[in-house]
Amino acid sequence: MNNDITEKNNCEKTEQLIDDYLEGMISLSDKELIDEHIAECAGCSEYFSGTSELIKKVHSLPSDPAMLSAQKKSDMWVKVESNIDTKKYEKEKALKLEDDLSENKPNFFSQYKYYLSGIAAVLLIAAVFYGVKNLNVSNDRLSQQSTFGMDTYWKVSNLQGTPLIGDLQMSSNDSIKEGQWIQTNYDSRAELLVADLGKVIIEPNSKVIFVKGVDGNNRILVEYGTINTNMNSLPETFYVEMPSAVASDRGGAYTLTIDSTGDGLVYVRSGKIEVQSPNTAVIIPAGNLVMTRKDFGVGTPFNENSSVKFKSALYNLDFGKCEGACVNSLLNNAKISDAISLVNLIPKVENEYKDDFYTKVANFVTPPKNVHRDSIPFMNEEDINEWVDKIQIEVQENVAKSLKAVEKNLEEMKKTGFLKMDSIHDLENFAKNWKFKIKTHPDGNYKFEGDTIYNGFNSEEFKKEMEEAQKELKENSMIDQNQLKLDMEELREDLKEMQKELKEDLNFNNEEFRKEMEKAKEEMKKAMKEVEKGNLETLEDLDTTGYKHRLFIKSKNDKDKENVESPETPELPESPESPGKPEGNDK
Amino acid sequence: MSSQAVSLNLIVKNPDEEYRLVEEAVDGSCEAFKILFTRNVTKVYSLCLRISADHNLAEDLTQEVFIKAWEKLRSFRFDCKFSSWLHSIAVNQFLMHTRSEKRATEREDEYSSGSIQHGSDKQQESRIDLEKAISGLPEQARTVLILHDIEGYKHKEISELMSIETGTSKAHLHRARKILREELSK
Repeated sequence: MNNDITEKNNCEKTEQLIDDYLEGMISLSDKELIDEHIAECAGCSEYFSGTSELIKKVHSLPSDPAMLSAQKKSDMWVKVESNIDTKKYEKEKALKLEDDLSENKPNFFSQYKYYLSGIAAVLLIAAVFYGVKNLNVSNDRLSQQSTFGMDTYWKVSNLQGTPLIGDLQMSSNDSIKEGQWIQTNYDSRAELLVADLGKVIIEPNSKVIFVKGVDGNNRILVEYGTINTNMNSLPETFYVEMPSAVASDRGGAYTLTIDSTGDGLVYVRSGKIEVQSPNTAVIIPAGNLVMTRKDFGVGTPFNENSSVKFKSALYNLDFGKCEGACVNSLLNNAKISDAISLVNLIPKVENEYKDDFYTKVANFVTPPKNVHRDSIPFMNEEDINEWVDKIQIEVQENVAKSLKAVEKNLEEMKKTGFLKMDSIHDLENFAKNWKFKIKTHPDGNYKFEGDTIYNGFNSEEFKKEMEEAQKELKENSMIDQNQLKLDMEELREDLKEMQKELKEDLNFNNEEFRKEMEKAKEEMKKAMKEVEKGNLETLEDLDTTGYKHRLFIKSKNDKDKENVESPETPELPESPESPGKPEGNDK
Repeated sequence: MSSQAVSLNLIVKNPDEEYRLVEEAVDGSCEAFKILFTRNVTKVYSLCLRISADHNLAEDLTQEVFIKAWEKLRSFRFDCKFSSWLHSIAVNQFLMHTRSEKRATEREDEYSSGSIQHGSDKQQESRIDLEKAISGLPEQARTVLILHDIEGYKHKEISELMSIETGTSKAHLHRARKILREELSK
């Protein structure tokens, strides 16, 4: 009896598994069991062959067995077309209505101007009565009150393709009101004019919602995708909300990208902006970036030319579980352009590291007078920002200085046809350290003048040292002069571009830039993994130093070529109406 | 690979008119959409007829599918063939219809009315029997069988479309095949 039950159970189980077996979706062990069972059980063997045959029959059914007469098709099309026409008409009507509303907006004010001027008069009397000093109403508030009872509209225009406002196609000159959203697909772009403050370009594959802030300021939400802003607004009058942070304009231009996971990257092209998350607020000056992570908020700003080692350590410190190793890596790999990151880290790192960070930054750029070493435990946002401003000026001056030095060196090369040292810095440092005037000589030798200025030195000993130095210099002079000239010219061009970049608002190719930013982000993540694995030595391979710089040159020179490339873009969420079917499934 | 890259591949692989027609239709061209309709209406109708087993309902569903497609054309991202996209809309429309209407399960024997393409007599007879047997299946089992065995969907895709578990989809298929075998062996 028990054997009968077991046999029956085996058969039932086998039947259930045969479907998977025939699709090849079964484990090797189950397959062996079924094979064994089928070989012994006539019933299951018959079931197996029968099912197999049935599947073949069903597969052979044509996917379009039904015949539709031409008349039937025509009748169906008439119904479909009629419905489409109705929808087109309704859509055009809705667009016209929106246009009318937008055009009629000023008329509302003219219609009620006497009423409004009456209110203004009452407010004026009230102000006089209570004292002007007590009536602290900002321009924004007044502006908000003037739109009392009305929806606020912003102008939008279709730059490329077919962006949508809600479900409707955006026209070349359209408007959007609070609560509405703009969506672009892979080949569409839109421009949003934010009151009189500036404009926002909404790049392909983006979704932006016009939300009204609780404080009445101008506010949009970027759900995903990329925007480029260029504002002339006063500080804290325009906000961009992200899934984990809010960017507020401080008179500048920036690019902001949110990926499909809600993580973001902000790059400041000119001026500066503030990015806030619940527990942190950072000021980001031009040429710097900051990452935002959905579950963490905003990270520490970093320079576009920071090394991969520096960026990966920073990423780990901000969003990972890393302290000592990351701190050491940051301190060891920091350059002057990283000083902004280091200053911002002083309040964040453990007490034992604060002093090291302070020293490192102070070596790059002298701290402001009120930010002395004793004040480290009390450093506030204002102190940091003051120091950041100083660093920014210093970095700009350094670039200008380097440019000047290179140009001077090139001039010298043109005159003499030779350069005896492999960099202008060596040359300058040598002259500075030894208080010597160095003149290059056509035959490659050096002559020293005025050694009497080295009073206090043993002149014989000094001469020996100089002879050794001269030997070294001769060895260094065995370099390819033409190659050096080319390198120097290239360096000069690079520095010029960097200088421009720091001063100007770039009109670069946004798509290309976004690609670069995503690439940088990917590389940072990759680098972080490498750090976790302990493969620090391999990180140089991932170095993206100057990626923004490369982009600038590309966008200036190869703009047309670059436009051909298709960018990697954040995935759009699947439409509930279009679950899609994998390629090749169609019959 | 991003959806855009997929779509670009598709365009390269299928340099037919489909892409251009869809783009023109998105820009409001009824003529372009009519060509897309003419090319796909039979397939869409056939699917609707199979899953609904009702001629009138299949006609209504087919029209709804194309109206819906017109409305949502901008959301079509070329990450699958246009006909596949229409099929997914058709399945959605049918499921929405059955959920809202809770239609009675009684149906006419649609496949005996000569609406099927002709082949050899014996083949035709066997096919009609099979189509009849399929149309007589319980609704969910029929839908799963058609989507899986005829339209080529995977269980995971079916489970997403029909809002059921993958295991349930497998169970429906198993049941459908078992019933079909019994019916065809009579």
